Amino acid sequence: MASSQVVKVLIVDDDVVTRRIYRTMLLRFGFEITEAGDGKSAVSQFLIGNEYDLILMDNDMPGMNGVEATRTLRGMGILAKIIAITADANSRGALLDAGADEFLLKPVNFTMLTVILKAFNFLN
Amino acid sequence: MNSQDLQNLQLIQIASERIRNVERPLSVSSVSPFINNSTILSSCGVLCLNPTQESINQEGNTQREKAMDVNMLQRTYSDLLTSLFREGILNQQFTELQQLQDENNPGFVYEVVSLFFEDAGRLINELISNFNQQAVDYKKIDAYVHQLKGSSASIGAEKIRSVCQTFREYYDKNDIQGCYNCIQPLNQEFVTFKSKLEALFTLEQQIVAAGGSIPMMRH
Repeated sequence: MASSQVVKVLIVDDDVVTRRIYRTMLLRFGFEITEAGDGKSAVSQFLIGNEYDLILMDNDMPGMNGVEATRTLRGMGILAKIIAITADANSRGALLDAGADEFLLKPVNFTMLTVILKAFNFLN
Repeated sequence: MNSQDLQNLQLIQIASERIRNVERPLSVSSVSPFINNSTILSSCGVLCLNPTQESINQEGNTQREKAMDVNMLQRTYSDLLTSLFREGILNQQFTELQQLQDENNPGFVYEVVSLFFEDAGRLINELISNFNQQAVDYKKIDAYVHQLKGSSASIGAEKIRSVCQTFREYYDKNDIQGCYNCIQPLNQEFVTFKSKLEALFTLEQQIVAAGGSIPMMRH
């Protein structure tokens, strides 16, 4: 976990509506939220020294996609939990192989997300 | 019968007509422009009240009217929301959004849907504009449709999502005509969705302004 007690989350998705929904879901748990609109921006967050406990990673994004971003972050030694969230079930294998810890199909259900967060011990 | 009696009789008929056409009890003040004889008023079945009793009754009537207004608005809201699900304009994901709305996020659904209106409107304009160019960039168009498909799925805009899905199927088969044929229906579904959701939000505002609460419904 990052040094503070508050769970720090990075939401990576090119769709502003989707990011807003995830933000609202996660704020319910008191998490601290940062957003990135694509894979390259997500990687930049870590390059400038920010730390996160959890990443919600979309796959199909302009420029660097979720598979590439996940592989890059793992290559940098980033240990944050990564939940890959995408509408394409066929990309599951590639995302998990790249280093994602869990995979969810869009649209995300709040209950499903809660179950995973509990499994990752992010919720008391 | 003298002319005064005749005049009184005519006035009684007018007052009676007025009473028959009104559901709630009348008070003196509502018919006194016609008649100022309490005996005649009594004969019309009008309740003759003293001023204090009348104002208490008027306040009771006002509260009853308000309650009826809120009930009517809530019923209209429920009917509209039910029809949106029945017609396939909304799906279960919209209910998910409603469940995320609480006292900490009272305007969440409105905010997210408004974001969608803005974003989807922009994407559709880009789509139409790109299709009208001489050299159409189908890859760019597909990217726009992909984005629109994602955001419409996130808020439960089922018909919009479905047309986007159809577009992408045509795109994958390199069926350009099929892609093109999706644009007008996509725009139409967006226009329909926007107008219906705006009507829903207007009803919400009216319910809250009338002192009521938004009905929670399961779909």
